[in-house]
Amino acid sequence: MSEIIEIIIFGTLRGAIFALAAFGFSLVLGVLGIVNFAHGVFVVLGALITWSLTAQIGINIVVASLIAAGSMGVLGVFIQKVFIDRVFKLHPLMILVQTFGVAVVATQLAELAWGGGERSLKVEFPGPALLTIGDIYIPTWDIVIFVISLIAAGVLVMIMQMTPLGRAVRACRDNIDSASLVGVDVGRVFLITMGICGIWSGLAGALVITLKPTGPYMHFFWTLDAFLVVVIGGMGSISGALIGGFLYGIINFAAYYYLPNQAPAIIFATLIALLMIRPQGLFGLGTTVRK
Amino acid sequence: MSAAIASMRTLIENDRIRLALLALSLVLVALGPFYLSAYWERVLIFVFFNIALASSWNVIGGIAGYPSFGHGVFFGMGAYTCAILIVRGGVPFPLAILGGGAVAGAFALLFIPLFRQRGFYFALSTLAAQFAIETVVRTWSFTRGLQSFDQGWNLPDLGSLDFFYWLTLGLLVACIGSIILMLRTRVGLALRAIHKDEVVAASVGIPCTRYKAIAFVFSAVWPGVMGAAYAPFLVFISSDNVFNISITLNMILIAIFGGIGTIIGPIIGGLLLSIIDRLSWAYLLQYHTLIYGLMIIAVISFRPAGIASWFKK
Repeated sequence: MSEIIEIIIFGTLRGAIFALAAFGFSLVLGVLGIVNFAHGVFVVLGALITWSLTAQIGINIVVASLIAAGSMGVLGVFIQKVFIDRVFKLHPLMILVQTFGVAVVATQLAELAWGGGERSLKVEFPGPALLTIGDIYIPTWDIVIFVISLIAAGVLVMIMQMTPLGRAVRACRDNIDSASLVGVDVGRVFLITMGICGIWSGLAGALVITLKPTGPYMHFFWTLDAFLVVVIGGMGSISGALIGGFLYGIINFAAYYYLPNQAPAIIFATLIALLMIRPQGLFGLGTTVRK
Repeated sequence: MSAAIASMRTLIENDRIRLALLALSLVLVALGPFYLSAYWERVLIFVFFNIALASSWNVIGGIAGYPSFGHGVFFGMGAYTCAILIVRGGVPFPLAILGGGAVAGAFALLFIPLFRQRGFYFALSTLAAQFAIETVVRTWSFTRGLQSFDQGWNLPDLGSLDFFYWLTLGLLVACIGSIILMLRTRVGLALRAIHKDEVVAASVGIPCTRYKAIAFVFSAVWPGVMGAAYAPFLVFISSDNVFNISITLNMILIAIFGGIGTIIGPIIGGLLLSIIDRLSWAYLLQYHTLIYGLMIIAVISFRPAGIASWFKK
């Protein structure tokens, strides 16, 4: 019994990171209606930039994370403006393959800069290293990251709900033609969406590298993880992605705990099953992707 | 009117010239083992494999418009079927090749439920299927996974390099020939209609699911056959070299690079990409993958119809 509770606790804690990495993916899928195969690049590059700024230059990790997240936002806008925008009207396959190409190039450049191996960052944290709940030990840092992820989700929800910018993004998500009819600059909203996607995913990367070693080649796993989270939670909505993240964290943790060898098969079979039964996600907005 | 006839005539003449050129180059390629070095013979065998794989992917991904990201599975399945039949059962090689195609085709039937999805969702579902199947093959004792000491399959030497050169060339010609023939039947017309607009196609009475299933099985059988021929050529196969995701991606990249949805596209793409690949391996090893990625981005961003569209006016 305590085993199950442990899986749920650790799965949820880890799930917050998955959710944070998937917010942008969910928004882009909802607003632009595309799957960005280069999504994991934001996470991985955000992690490696944070590592460089902190471990090599010696900048405070908070500042470093923000710089990393910001530069991923710029990268997101760049990818949208230079690449995706050109093929946006074509068959979705073209965007998949194009963004895959972007991911390959970005990964190669990252390997030239950081090498092909993994890096990790140890954060010195004041206070006890472990918290005990009953007879379960939980690393304090995992809880800190959990809280940061929740705050980041809250900030994103506030931006989406309370600012004119968020209203425009939501309008495009709900109905792109109507939004453009009432004077929303759709092209600009697309750029902003990709920027937001980059910032939040970059922040996820900055947190990830304090938890486990991260290398350039891992980008594809992050893209798939984000897609799984969105498929579970439903696209376009932040709360859906959050719940999806928690659920995916638990499924992921349980699969690797009980059947480490077959875990990928179980996870991907779950993905296929969910896609067949409820492509709009368990908590989706009821709309399916345009393309 | 006369202008139209004249332009028709030049078209026919062009076609004749094209056919003649095609026959000439085919003869030149077929005589390859007599004047090529072993190195280039090997390169060309890989080119044949690549073209055949990309052409078969093109049937479902390009012509029907259902981008499968799990097609490498059928190649791996063909290779494993061939290896298991030959090593465990002592089945003769030609039968093992047929077996590879049959198993891949039968397995493709399991993918039919995925046709309820379109576009991105179909792509991601098939990708997930690829990873799931790869994991099973990697860890199942029947396919010799898990234990590090007997992972993979060693095959006996079944023929010389020349034999495999002619074998793969023959299979490639058969593959492309069968695709051309299939596209001339109702199936081809139905697939193009489905690609244009599936709702309209269904509303005029085209049984879309049936034709998509036919196209999918068709485009899975050929990778299975090619995989079965690949296994003894490579001598040693394991999940790392025949179930690798890069095989799937290569099929897609070659088809798109050359010109998606055309017959000539995968041929041009396979030739060009393989040659550029070889050259950058030889001279720019460190930047090899980078160059590959840049070319893909460049072609899709500036020439989404592929290299083949340069030859059309």
